[in-house]
Amino acid sequence: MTPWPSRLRLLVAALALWGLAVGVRLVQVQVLQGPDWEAEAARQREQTVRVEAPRGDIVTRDGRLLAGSLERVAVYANPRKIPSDVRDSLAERLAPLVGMSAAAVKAELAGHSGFFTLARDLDPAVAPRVARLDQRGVGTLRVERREYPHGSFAGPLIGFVDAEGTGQAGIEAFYDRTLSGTPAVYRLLRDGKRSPTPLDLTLEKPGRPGLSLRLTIDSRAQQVLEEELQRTLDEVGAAAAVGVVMAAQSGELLALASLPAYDPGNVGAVPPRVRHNQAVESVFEPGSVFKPFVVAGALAEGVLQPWEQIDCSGGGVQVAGAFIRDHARYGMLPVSEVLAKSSNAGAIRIAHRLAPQRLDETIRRFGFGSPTGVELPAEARGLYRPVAKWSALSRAGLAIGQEISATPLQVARAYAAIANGGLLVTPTLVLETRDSTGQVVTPARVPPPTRVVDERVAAALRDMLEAVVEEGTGRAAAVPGLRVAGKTGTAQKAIAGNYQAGRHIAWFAGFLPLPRPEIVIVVCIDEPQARFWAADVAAPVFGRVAARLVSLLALQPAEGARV
Amino acid sequence: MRIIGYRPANSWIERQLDERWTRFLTWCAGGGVVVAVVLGTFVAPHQAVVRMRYAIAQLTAEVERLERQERALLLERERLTAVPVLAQQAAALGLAPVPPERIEFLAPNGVLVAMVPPQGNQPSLEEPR
Repeated sequence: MTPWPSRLRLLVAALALWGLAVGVRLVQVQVLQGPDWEAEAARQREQTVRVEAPRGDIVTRDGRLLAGSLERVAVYANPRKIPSDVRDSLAERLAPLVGMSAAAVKAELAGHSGFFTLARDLDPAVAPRVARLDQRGVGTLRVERREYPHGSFAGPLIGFVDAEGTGQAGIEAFYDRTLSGTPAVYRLLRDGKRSPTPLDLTLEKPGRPGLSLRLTIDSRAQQVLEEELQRTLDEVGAAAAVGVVMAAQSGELLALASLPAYDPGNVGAVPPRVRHNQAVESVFEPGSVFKPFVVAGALAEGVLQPWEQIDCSGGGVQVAGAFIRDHARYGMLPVSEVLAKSSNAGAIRIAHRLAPQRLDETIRRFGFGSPTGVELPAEARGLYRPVAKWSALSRAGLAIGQEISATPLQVARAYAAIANGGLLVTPTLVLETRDSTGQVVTPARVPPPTRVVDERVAAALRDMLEAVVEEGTGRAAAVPGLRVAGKTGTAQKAIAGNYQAGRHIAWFAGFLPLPRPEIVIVVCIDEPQARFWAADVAAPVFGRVAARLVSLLALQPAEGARV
Repeated sequence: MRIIGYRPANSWIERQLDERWTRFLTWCAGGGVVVAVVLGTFVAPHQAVVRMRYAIAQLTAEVERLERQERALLLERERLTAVPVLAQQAAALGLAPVPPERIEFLAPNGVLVAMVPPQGNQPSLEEPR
């Protein structure tokens, strides 16, 4: 065998060494660093995108769409990433897509140094056309526009969302998580120019579209209530008008209005104070609409009988050195007439039959001083002092609806307890939640009611409150052919601890049709101007609303109805 | 003598056939067939998948566009038939809510019950409270 020449051996050795080096590097890259390089390759080739879930709808119980979302597109630009020599031609090409002139686009690009939104609320068809411009520093963002097709109708109830689509008030805020759903995460491939392609779209993390809410609100009842409250604002003039229509047995809210209302789609047009839902966020002294609860406490404790005569003579009553006036010298009045004539002296004398603790228990049992639990944010609990902080005048004050403030919804709930036989229900706004396919996900949540007074006490109160409408201060609330019960209340407004002359709150709270009431209606007019007595201002609104709801809700006169 | 053309007569040279050339061409053809088969087997279906994905992407975009349009139309319809709008239109047409006294109920005993306004139950503003 011929030995290899030394130069050839050197060459072979060098080649072998090179081969070994390549082999070692291969092992290092492919085996040891393999996963890292694989991930790097995937990072360059793939892109993860987060797709926000569409926000759910809000519909009334009769199917009217109160809030829904529409997909839109925003075009952004980052002048830092756009070479100055292409800006003019880019502006020319971009202008028709964003609905601006080329000069305006040029000015916008020149006026910003970093990322900014060039145009928003564009048709989604614009997105692929912007992508085809293939210009670094210009792109589109998918955005959602919340639509409120009914304008200010039920506005304070629905609430609104901010620019990010997060609920800020009303049902939009309370059910924000339910309505917004969860975003999906997709992985997609990018092409040679690192632009995402719609190919190989892989779902990394499934999302869930926002659930839709079906409310207990009846659009027709809501319209009737808003129309009649607006009529009062127009005719009488007032700072605000609030109304509640509630199903007496279930606590379902059929209408909830707070005027002046606002358009949730144009919240910026109204001052912040108007953005409140006064039915649940504002508290008012109830005045005489509170008297039935004092009577209820006395009846429940057995210190008062329905047929008793109460001394209402003297034109008022002296309590702890203060003389609280009555509207007239009534003489001796049966309990039902104490309510029918809204005698302050009679109510105070009844309240004084109750020990402070018993009166306090009654008031708390009817839900005053604590939130009702309705599905709305910022619900006020009302102003009510603990019994330890009561003064010698407190029982007298409470008897005529002073020293306590409540929301119209709290008053409606308490009247529902009288209407339905003594059960305190939780007001509810949502009948059910549905997914994007229309399947019911969560049926109505109806917490069990709690008994606050005996059925006999509730029945006695219903009769007394019917007398208020038949022959007392609430005659303007009567509905032809139906038996109606209710109570007026005219309260002076307290500002900074002092009652203000000329500033009142007019209430009417009641229910119909007797003997088995189906709906409770509460009307509260804040600072009525032309007239201020509840009998003139609030009771007629109740009467008109109730009369119009008769046919809409098919309220039927039961046995004993006046026909 | 007039020479009209010249053609060398090298007929004595025997042309030899280069058989390697034929073999090379045969190998090329065979290789081409193999490549075609491989392409046909693996690449063509992939291409079909890519084409299909493009078609799916286009159709999906179209479905999304139509869904967006449907949504926009739904909201537009809701806006045009909003309850306050209908109420205004009804009022403009002279339509009014049915007053309770014009409603009759069918009682369980089969009798029509009319809702007649009761006597002496008219609102009075003289005794407000």
